[in-house]
Amino acid sequence: MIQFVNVTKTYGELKALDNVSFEIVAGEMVFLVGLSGAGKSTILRLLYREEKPTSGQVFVSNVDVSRLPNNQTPLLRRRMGVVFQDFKLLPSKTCFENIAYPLFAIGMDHMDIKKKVNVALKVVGLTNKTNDFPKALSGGEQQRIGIARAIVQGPALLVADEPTGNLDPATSMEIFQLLERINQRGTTVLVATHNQQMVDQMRKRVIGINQGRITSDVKIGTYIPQL
Amino acid sequence: MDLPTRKIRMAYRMFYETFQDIWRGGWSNAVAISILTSVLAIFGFVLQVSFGLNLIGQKLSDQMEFSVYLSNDTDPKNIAFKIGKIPYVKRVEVIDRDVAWYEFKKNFTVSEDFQNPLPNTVHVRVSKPEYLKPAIHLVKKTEGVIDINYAPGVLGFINKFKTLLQIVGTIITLLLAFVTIVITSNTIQLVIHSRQNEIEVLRLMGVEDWYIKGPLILQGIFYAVISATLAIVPLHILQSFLWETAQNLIGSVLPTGLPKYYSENIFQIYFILLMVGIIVSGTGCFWSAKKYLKI
Repeated sequence: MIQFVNVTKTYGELKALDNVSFEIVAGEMVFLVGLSGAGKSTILRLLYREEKPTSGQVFVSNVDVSRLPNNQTPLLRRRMGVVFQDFKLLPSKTCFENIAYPLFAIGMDHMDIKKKVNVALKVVGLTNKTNDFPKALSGGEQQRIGIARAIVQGPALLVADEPTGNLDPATSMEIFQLLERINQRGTTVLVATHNQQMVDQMRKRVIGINQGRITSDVKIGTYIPQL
Repeated sequence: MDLPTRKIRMAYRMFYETFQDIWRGGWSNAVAISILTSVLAIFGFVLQVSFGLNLIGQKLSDQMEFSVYLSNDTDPKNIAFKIGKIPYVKRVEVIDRDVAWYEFKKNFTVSEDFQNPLPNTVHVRVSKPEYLKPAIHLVKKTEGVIDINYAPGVLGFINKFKTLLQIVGTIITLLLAFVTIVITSNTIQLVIHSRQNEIEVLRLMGVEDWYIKGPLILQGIFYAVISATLAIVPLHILQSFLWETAQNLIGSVLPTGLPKYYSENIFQIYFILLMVGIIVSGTGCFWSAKKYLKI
């Protein structure tokens, strides 16, 4: 599903990633852990092509995204669900409209959109929030709407960049459990986080990263703080 | 889902998104529209003055007419016939005093028992401006002529500076056009800037660039259309007032006054404001959105 092959990313003098290589197969749930500035977000940004690697290759479903033409990027992102730390919901649109927007934009029939959105809302447990605006929701609810938007098109891959960064521990646990349920339905899930407690409880594969380098890759791992 | 249906649906949704965003934008729309309206109104005013000056300038350079006032005991058609035979005279037109009085009473309130003070008049047009003075000199000698109206002094003065006025008018118009473009462009950029987070979200969601830019460009065009339409209202009201003022100041020294400045001119100005607004707003939205789309 995902392959990083000798990927290096530099910003001027700063080396954000240094010769990183790893592979994630379809159906896995993987945590990418490390301190702030370790390179976790850079890896995710390379995946959804917000950045391009300075060297090396990034494959998603056997497609080299680092060489993808610019006009193919929207298609890549529609085939991949992305969840952000700051939720990134459209404040002037209702929850329904936020989730449905990518489907509106590809000209899908309204009845089909309604079915898919209702399924996504059911998965995240917010069927009663269809007509609410984001500002009326709690942080946890907003993130669940963000997850609903990410899964509405049934992507094979879901990436989450610090999805619980702005949430309390109890809500964070709910979010991680939701991501686990999505993974159990067959979606590959990659979560970048520095939430040690959650990682330890989930008992999934853990890839550790520090100063742009992979430091550990354990099948059933725990969060190992890097000094 | 067949392609044409999908394309039509996407186009419809793009327009729907535009108007939904405008509706939900609330007072921020009023701010943008008021700024654009003010700028376009000022530019439109300068255009109006510039067009008017050009028209007056043209009238002045075409000054080949004078009016001849006749005594009441003469036959105006006979006098007109005699004047028509003078060399250089291209055309003569008789204005009966009763007809002139009727036209006068249409514009001014006059007591019913007030006697008609206007004389019979002959409007004379020469074939070239340089024939004006020789023709006047000959007409003055014609029996029955009591006075001739032309204003060599004032017209001569104005004529000297006609070219300068036209150049100054053109420079001011161009400067104002530049300022209008800059302010409109900046206003639109601020509107787009306020939505940069939204543009980023849509980009990350995998929405195609044209579907992101489309509603923004349409919104800019909408602002331009509303602003140009609002700006033309005070200009239309001002038009009559300005032309009457010009008529009083300058037109009175011309035998036939200033030419009528018809309503078509206001449509011409409206069209210019509309085009400037649409082009600048639409282009501004396109380039600003492109910046945040990080292509």
